[in-house]
Amino acid sequence: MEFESWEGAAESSYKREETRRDFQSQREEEGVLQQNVDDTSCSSSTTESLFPYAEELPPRPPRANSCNYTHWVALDVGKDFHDQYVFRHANGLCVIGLLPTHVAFKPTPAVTAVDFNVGKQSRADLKVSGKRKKNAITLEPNSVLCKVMVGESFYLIRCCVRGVLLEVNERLIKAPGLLNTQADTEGHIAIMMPRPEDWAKASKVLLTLEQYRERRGL
Amino acid sequence: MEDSLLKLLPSLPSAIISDLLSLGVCVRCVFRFLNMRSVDFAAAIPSCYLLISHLQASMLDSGAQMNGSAEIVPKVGTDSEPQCAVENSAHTIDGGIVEPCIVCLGILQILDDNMHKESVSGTELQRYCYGAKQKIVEAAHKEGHEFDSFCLEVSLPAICVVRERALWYYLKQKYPEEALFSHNHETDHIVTLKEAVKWSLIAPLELLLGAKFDSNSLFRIALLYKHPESLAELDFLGGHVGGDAKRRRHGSVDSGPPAGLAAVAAARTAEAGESLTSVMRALATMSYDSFSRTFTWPPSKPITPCELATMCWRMPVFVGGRYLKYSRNISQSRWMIDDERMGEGSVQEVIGDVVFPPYKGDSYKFHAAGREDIDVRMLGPGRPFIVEISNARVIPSSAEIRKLERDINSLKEGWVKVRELRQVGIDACAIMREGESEKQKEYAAVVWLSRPVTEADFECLSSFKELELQQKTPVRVLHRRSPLTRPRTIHWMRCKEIKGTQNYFVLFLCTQAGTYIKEFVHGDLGRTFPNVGSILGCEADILQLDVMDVKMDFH
Ligand SMILES: [Zn+2]
Repeated sequence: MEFESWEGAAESSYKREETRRDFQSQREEEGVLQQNVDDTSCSSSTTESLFPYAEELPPRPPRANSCNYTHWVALDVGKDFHDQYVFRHANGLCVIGLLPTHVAFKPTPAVTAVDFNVGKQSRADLKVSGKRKKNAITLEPNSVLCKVMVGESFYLIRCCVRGVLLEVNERLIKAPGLLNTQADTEGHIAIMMPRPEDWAKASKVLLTLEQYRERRGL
Repeated sequence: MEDSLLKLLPSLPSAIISDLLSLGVCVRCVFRFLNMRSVDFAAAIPSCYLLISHLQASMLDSGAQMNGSAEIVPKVGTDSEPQCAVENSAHTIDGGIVEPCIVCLGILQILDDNMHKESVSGTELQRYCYGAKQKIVEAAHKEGHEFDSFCLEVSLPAICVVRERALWYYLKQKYPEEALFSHNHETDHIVTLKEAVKWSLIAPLELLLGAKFDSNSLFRIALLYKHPESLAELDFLGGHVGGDAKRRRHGSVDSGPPAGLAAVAAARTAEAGESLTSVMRALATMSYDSFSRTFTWPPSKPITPCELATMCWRMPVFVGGRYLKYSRNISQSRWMIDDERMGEGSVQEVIGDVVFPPYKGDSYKFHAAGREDIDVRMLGPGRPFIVEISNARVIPSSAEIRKLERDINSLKEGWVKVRELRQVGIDACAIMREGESEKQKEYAAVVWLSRPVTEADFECLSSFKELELQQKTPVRVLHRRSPLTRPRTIHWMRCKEIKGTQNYFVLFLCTQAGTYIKEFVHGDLGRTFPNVGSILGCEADILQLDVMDVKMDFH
């Protein structure tokens, strides 16, 4: 699992944009764009100029998962080495999931099941609807989202932030292995929507990625 | 007097005419109640004195020396003032205003300006009476509207129809044998006040304004007649009028924020229209008895004439085209967060700043067939858009509009270009709205894979036809949109290598409108499924996206 910081990514893509602009205006002078304007098909002759040359490309694009979210960490949630992440999107939504250092992945990632049957009703049965998020429940930082099973033992996964539970990752029910392979993307646990004041509180307790690496000696 | 009218005179019921005139009914309203549809309401209408003297003359001519003929000299006097040949200059009362007709409350009388000379304690005082025509011409030119056609919207005080009903009952009672008044109600058997106003004004206005009357014209002239004096009289309808009476007591409808003259005028016209309709509805079902319990006939003489407010505006005009956006830092519409501008500008402003000013309108709105993200370019034939201009004073010619297109396309920054700029009808808005959800969109995405791209990947992706995705509302918009899983179709995909790279390629794809492409590539935490990564069995990310086509019959 990668935890490289992509803070620099936005900047570098901006620079790329700058170079593309010069490039663009140059093409425009050559009348290339004009030709494209009148050509509704995307035939190769006109699109050639519209897409980047190899030398302009970064080694890889900023990961969607990294450049759209700020990464926060909650260590020892409830118990030692119950390490969880909170990925906060610019729009305020928080993706909750397990960090590679979570005890469920020790010694090797071997999650066998995920059980959302932890509240009065299964977390997976909540059907939030509409822009106003009708039927959504508000959970506390220590509220349990699900149980992650590793054979006979289980680990409680908690919210880490107070907020409205928008959805849980139901795919984990049928494919718990996603936690073992892609815990930071397809294997996420849930998406929450905290109020700004609740987020302000939570972010005081949460660690940054840097602090996390320091604490766990990564 | 008009020849046509003179010819008609012998056939007219002179006793009824002089009766009506003596009650204080104006000459045009007399014609209305006699259902005289062939009379030219716009021509100079004779004063009641002249009309009576002609009636007498024609009766003498035809030897119709009836017993009742002596009655054709009511309170109004006969040819004692033959110089007052035209209706408007008759019956002046103080302030130079015509003594208002008991039915139309002056609406059909005060059409032209009139200079009145009055003698006040020995000195001559000139008073000016503003006629409807001059008021309209003034209003039409005041704000610099340029137009070659116009449409009249007349809103009348509801009390007028009540007075019509009262006069009708009077006539039925007094002339029970008269076939003209044999119907229960006046409805459909008299020339309506609205018709008479239009007939009286249209031809003269065409001359004065140098424009043609056209009921479809976008240039609207609203005549809002009000008669505050008689508002209380309507309360007799009480429950019949319902909410309308209530609203009247609470004062006029709040026009809200200044949405421009057009909106205010439209609201006021609608309000007046609603009030008139509800009174007419009440009258349609009201029995003779209940009417007679609450209203007397003939109608009483009003003290003041109607007040006339004129408003002119142009209905929205639409300038359509397709735009191209070459920047990944310009949004479609002005995007402000906490008063801070996001991005370097907007397509809306680049286009609006050039297109809007020449129309000299009140405001404009920018509509487009969907939108791309700020970091997505709009290429190919461009995205259809419409600029809606409210209350345009000027309509540029198509040559001038082509010049506006050139102006936008020669802007130094050059991030936004337009094509096919032209004036479009309101139907183009509907085409665009429908097209937004129904049509296909083509994109080009620069995709990165976590392993080197192979020919097999290209074959795999391009083998899919009508691939159905289950797409959950993307996280990036989930905070403001409904959480749903939507099926979306990728119609086809094509791939193109980027020479000199291992992990990148260009993915061309044609999708159902409403498909989120970025999410289809990176998978959005697996919330769009299948996605490029899941199909190719690796991690996929998107470097950049361009819209290549928004398919729509928008010409
Ligand atoms: Zn009248």
